[in-house]
This record gives sequence, structure tokens and C-alpha cells, in this order.
Amino acid sequence: MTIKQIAVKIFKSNLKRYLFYFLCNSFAVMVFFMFSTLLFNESLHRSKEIEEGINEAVMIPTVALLIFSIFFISYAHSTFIKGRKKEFGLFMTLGMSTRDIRKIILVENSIIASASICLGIIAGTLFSRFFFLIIMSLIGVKSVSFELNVNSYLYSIGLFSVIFAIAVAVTMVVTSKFEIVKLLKEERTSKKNKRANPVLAAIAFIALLASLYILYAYFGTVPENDGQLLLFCTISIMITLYITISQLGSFCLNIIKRRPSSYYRHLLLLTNLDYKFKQVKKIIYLITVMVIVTIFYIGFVLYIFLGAEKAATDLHPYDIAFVQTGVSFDKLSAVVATKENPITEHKTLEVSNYFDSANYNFRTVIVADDQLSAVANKPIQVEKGSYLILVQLNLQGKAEQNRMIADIQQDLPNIGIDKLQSAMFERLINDLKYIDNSLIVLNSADYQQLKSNTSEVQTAEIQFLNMKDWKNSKDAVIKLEEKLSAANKVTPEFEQLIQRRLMTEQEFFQPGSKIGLYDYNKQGGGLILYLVTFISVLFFIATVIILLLRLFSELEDERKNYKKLFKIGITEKEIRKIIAGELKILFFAAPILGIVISLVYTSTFFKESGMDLEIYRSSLSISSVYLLFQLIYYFIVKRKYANQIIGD
Amino acid sequence: MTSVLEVKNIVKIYDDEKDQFATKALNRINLKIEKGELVAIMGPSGSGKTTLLNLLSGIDSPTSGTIHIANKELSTMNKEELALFRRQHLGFVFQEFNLLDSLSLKENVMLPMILEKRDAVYMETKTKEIMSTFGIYDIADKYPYSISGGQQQRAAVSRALANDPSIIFADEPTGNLDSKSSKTIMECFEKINKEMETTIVVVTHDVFAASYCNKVIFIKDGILDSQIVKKGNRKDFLDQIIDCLAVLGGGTHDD
Ligand SMILES: Nc1ncnc2c1ncn2[C@@H]1O[C@H](COP(=O)(O)OP(=O)(O)OP(=O)(O)O)[C@@H](O)[C@H]1O
Ligand SMILES: [Mg+2]
Repeated sequence: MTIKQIAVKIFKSNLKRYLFYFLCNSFAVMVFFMFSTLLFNESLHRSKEIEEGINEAVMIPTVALLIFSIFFISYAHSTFIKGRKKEFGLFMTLGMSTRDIRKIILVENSIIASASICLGIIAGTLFSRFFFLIIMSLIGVKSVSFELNVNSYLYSIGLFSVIFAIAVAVTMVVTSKFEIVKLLKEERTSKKNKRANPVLAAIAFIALLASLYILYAYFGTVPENDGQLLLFCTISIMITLYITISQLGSFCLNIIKRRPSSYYRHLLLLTNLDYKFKQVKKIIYLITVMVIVTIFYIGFVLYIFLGAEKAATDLHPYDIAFVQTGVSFDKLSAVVATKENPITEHKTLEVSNYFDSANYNFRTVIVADDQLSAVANKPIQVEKGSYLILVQLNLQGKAEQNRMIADIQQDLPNIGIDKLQSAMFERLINDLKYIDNSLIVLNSADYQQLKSNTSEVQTAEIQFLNMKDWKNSKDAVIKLEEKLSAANKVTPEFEQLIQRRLMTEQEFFQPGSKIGLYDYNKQGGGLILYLVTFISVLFFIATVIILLLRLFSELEDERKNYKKLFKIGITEKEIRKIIAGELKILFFAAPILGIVISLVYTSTFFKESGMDLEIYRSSLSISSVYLLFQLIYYFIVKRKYANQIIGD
Repeated sequence: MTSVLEVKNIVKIYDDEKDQFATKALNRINLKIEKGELVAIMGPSGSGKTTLLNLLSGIDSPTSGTIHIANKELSTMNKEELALFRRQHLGFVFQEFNLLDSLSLKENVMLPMILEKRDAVYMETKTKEIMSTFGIYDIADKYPYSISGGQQQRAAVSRALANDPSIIFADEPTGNLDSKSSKTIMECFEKINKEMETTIVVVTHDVFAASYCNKVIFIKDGILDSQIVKKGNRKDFLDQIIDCLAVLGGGTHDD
């Protein structure tokens, strides 16, 4: 018999195992392919309808998906190989060399890998149009058409070939360590977890808590270092989490063992868990990480999505605001107002742009107190000879506020007024690219004098409009934007400023409107939300597959064990209880751990923004939905699995 | 003497769903075993020995007939009650040891007591006592896959004793062992039988093992064929068993 014939024979006898492995792989390829069609869709990139920055947003889930695919496939692969070790042991006793075994592995895996890439891509090609249409209709984008890009094919084939190659290569290396005796005993011994090292367990656990705490406590204190802090803490959390998960189980077991009465009472459950922990810990870790990422990310995106209206009204007190130069207000208002949606309120604020020639033409925006007061609808009075700093940001810490004030004072041009009256940290007027977040407010007499005295001042009028229904003002804003970009006059100083800010003129003069931000958040949040939801559903499916894979690969052993116990006289009720206990840990340890850690991340990112409770609500509702699904899944599996083990 | 075990007219028919071909594994068996007996059941392969043992221990139920153990009728009990009955009153030893790989030897021995929710201290002392008797207490913390077959079987015998059963069933307990280990196991049984007056029923192919018993029952094709009782010493009994097997035919297929 040649190797080839043997390989074919084995293939036939192990069909179920192969099929499962094959389908897992195809699934991963298909999902990635579907996603990549979105990533490489050029009309999506070019579309005006899609707000900028959203394309980048697709990138994050794609990377997450890729990393996930790597884990998923390598897990499926190692399960597949593990299931066959006994067979390999048998072959080796019959005189096969490691080389022959490698050949078998290589042939099998090449066939499965290429077949699953093919199936995955074919299925992906078929389903991606469907997937695309759903997503686009959900976010209300009509102008983008579906495209199949060569890149999708190339990347899917390329990346997955590499992933498979690596998985096989690892196995090849492992085969050199194959020993017949161990292979034959594989089923019985290998699952045994190494004895935990209590010191290591304690250190890892403390380090995990410390990393979480450091991240939470120090994130945002020194903004320049936030990136590094985040990276460092995340790496440290991921590592310590793994050690904790792998050690804590047996560590707890050792502690319980010291109290024989409770140890013996749960002996079967505890030893069963311990016995299988070597494999289970990887699954728990994988699922924990997936839960952290999804819960945090979805919670965050959901928050943006749901908070789109609040964000729009918070950032834009007036429905529409714009800088008017070079064209009369009447012409502009004619564009904006319609019969159904008239302008209900109109206010004007004159701003003086002071270009400081002594300081590289640094621009300062100056306004008069009475005008600002009228726009803001609140009394603001500045003493003659003094100035007031208005920062339109919600800065919480005193230290931060002081730093901001100092910064502004340092760049304050020499206008003959240098007595700081006070500083306000509040949003009073719309967010506009044209003005900065900080303004200088002067007494109106001082303001008029400054304006007339110096040639370095260029004034402009900002118009503030309220509409009858801002949610219906999208067309008005688009028309306004067109008119403005056609009409605006730009002085050399402004040209320089625009260049320095790396903006286009059109962006610089963009109106600041509620509807603009609202749409941006709704659309961006919406797109990401659907993508992330999609990925989370995949994660969920994947965890379902992983757990099933794990449970049903053990089914035979479990049955044998149950038979043994049955003969000794264990009751069905008792065995069901033990199975339930085991499944509970397998199903819920990871989600709960993941949710807790993701909440730490959420608090970290949102503690600055004044403890917005909405974000927690988003995160917690997502967590509950997830747990609910997991619970349903648990009950179904528990029944099925126990029935399978006990048999009729 | 009171009979611990009384079997009346049991019939066991295995229905094969596929070919509609039914096997009559046991046909009207009557049997009485007294307290303190050490009985061997012998017979050719496929004669229904394992089937009989499974019925006696409530693992399987007969097609017809009644089984009384310690004055309880098995057929009146449901699955749950049977399980409880098994672990409280019966002990088992199997050819393939049936130890759990996830448990150490000590824990394996304790298992029936753990299921009975015995007190931890009691379990520890009891386990130590039994395991020391069979010379395996020094390997109490080892796991089944790292010890020899003979040691595993001694652990299995220890486990069978854990709840002070009124009767122990053993299905080819020496089938996987060499003659030296077989001897040790049979001596264990002899010891238990003598010292604790535990009733023991051993199914075996091994004439040497059977010669340790007081009585040998022969079955063939699901029917009780004959039985002999030990009168003289073990050597004579051994010869007697060999003669009987020769008459029975089929004999000891794996020796
Ligand atoms: N679960 C079953 N389903 C159908 N037939 C069975 C089943 N178990 C046993 N049999 C049949 O019943 C008969 C008796 O089997 P049993 O296992 O009791 O024999 P045995 O005396 O223990 O044989 P051995 O010495 O080989 O162990 C055989 O013909 C066997 O094929
Ligand atoms: Mg048998």
C-alpha cells in the first residue's frame, strides 16, 4: 500500500472530523472575503454620501476579524490534529516513520486548505452582495454600488494560504517530538494540567489587577503618554490574563483541596474541570478576549449611535452657523429657508481675527461681550481694560483648565489689554472650523477701539440660525455649503492659516450644523455598529463552534466515564448536575471575565467626559443581550449534551 | 443460611432493531446464592455470563423473571432507586478496571462514599484501611494510567468494598492480568470473603481463578448447566473444574 492509498483510506474513515474542520475553515474564509468586499469597494471610498473617516472605521473590524481568523483556524487545526494523534501512534507502531506521518498531514491539510479556500470564496462571492445590500440599506446609503474587486480574491487567498501554512508548519515541528507511547496515551494523559505554581498565580492575578487599575487611574492624566500607557497596559493585561486563567483554576483547586469536606463533595466536578483544563483554558482565554473587544467596541459605537442627537445639540447650540464673507446674508438665507422649514431665529456675531505679525501671524479670535451675550442668551460682561477667555470645551480638572489658560495667555497678542478678568469653560456657540475652541472676549468699547485702530484685524460675521425643524435641514445645509464655498473671499493671512491646518478652503468655511454632525454620527456610528454587530455575531457563532467542537470531541470519553460511574451507581440527576456545573464554567467564566474587563476599558475612556452614564447603559445592555444569548445556548447544549452522554 | 441473592426464571432477550433478529441470551435461569459464598460463574464465550451479571446488578433489566437481592426485588425499583441501591449495597469489579483517569487511586476508591456524601474523615480512614489491606496505599495519590494493571485492579477491588456492600460482582476481574497478578486478586477476594463474610460472585474463564471459589456454576447457551462445590483442597477442586469444562465443551477459549 502506498502512502497515497493509506491517506485516502484514513480520509474515508474520519469523514466527520474532516468535514467539521473543512467547514470551520470555509466559514472563516467566507466571512473574511465578505468583509473584504466592503473594504475594497472603490465606489464606497469615493462616495460623497459617506462621511469621511468612516472608511477607516471599517479597517478596525477587519483587523479584528483577521486576528480572530488566525486564532480560529489554528484552534480548529490543532483540534483536528489532536483527534488523530492516537491514530498516528498506531501507525508508528506499525512502522511508519515521522516522515510518512508528516506527508500524510501535509497532503490532507493541503487538500482541505485549498478546498476550504475555494468553498469560502465561492460562498463569499454569493453572499457578499446580499451582505452589502443589507448594510447599505440599514445605513441609508443609496449611491454606492456593489463591486467585486480582484483584491478581495487576492487577499483572501494570500492571507489564508499563509495562515494555513503556518498552522501546518507548527504541526510539522511538533511531529518531530512524537513518541509512540505518548501518542497512544494522548487521550488519557495530555489533558492533565500542570500543577499550578501558587506564586505565579498570585503574581499574575495581582499584576492583572494592577494593570487594570493603572490604566484606569492614569489614563488621561498626561495626555501625551496616553497612547503608550494604553498599549503597555493592554499588552500587560493580555499576558497576565492568560497566566491568570491558566493558573488560577488549579490554584483554586489547591486551595479547595485543603478543605477535604468541600473538595470531596464536588470531587467529580472539580477533577473533571482540572483534568480538561489544559485545553479549556485556551478556549476561555480566546473567548474572554473576544468578549472584551466586542462588548467594549459595540458599547462605544452604540453610545455614539444613540447619542447622535445629544452630541449634535451639545456641540451646536444653533441649528446652523456659518461664516459669511463675500456674499450678502439675504442671498444666503434665501437658500436656506423654505416654506415648510422657515428660519425661526437669526443672530449675528462679529468676530475680529487678529493676526499677530510678531508671532508668525498667529491668529486670535476676538469678540465683543454684548454681541456674544446676545448670541449666547446669557449675560456676559467684561470690564473695560480686561479680557475674558472663553474656552468652548468641557474641561473638568482645575489643573487642565489652568494649563489651557496659560497656553492662551502666552500667545495673546499685544493689544494693550492684559488684565485677565476670568475664564469660562462652556460651549456657547456652534462648533466651527473657522474659529478655534478658544476666544477672547472684550468689553464692547475696547473691541470697537481695537477694530478701528489696527490694520492687523480682519473682521467677519458669523450667522446663527434656528430652523423650524433642524432634522429637515440637510438640503439647506448642502446648498448653503455650495454657495459659501463659491463666494468666500480669502485673504493671504487666511490662506496661510488654512494651509497650516492642512484643510481645504471648503472645509474651513464649512457651516457648523446640528444635522451635519447628527448625520455623521448616525451614519458613521451606524455603519460601524452594523459591522461590529456583524462581527460580534460571528464571534458568537465562532464561540458556539469552538465550544461545540470542544464538547463533542470529548463525547466518547464522557460516555465511557459515565458508563463507569453508572455501574458504580451514580444517578442520572447527579450526573446531570455535574455536567451542568462543568458547562456553566465553560460557558460563563469567559463572558463574565470579559465583560468586567471591558467595563474597565469603558470607564477608562469615559471617565474624563464627566461620567456619562449613557455609555455604561450601552455597554451593559450589550452585555446583557450577549449573556442572554449565551444562557439560551447553554440551556440547549446542556440538555442535548447530557442526553448524548447518558443515552436514551 | 439466608440467601442474599435469589433469581427466579429470568429470561433475557436482546432485540436487534435492524435485522429483527432476537438473541435469547438467558433462558429461564434459577439461582440462589447464600450469604458469605464465593461463587464462580463459568461458561463458553457468548453463553450469557456478562448478561447475567448485568441483570443481577440492575445495570440491565430482564425480559421476564425476578431478581431478589438482600430481600429487595430489583424490578420494583426505578432507574434512580436502582442507582442508589447499587452504590449502597453492591460492589463491582470489571475486566477493564473501570477507574476514572481524572481521579487519583485514592479518589477512585472513595468515589462510592463520596456519592453517598460520607464525612471526609470517615472516608480518609476507610480508604486507608482498605487500600493498606491490598498493599496499594503507598501509591494512593498516583493516577490510573501510571500504574500497573494488577495495581489498578486492586484499586478497583478496594473501590468495590468502599460502601461495605452485601455482595460483590466481578466480571472477569483477572482477564487482563498475568497469572501472578491474578493470584493476588483472587487472594484479595478470598480474604474479603473470609474476613468480612462478603458474598462474591466472579465471572471468569480462568480455571485457576475459579479454584479459589467455594462453588462453580456453569452456564451454556443461556441455560444453567451444572454446578460443583469445593469439598477438598484447591488442587482437587481445580481438577474437578477442568473435568467439568471438558464435559461442557467450548471451554476456556482464551487460555
Ligand atoms: N447489548 C447486546 N445486544 C444484543 N445482543 C447482545 C448484547 N449483549 C450480549 N448480546 C448477546 O448475548 C449473548 C450473551 O452475551 P454475553 O456478553 O452475556 O456473553 P458472555 O458469556 O459474557 O461472553 P464472553 O465470555 O465472551 O464475555 C451473546 O450471543 C451476545 O452476542
Ligand atoms: Mg462477558
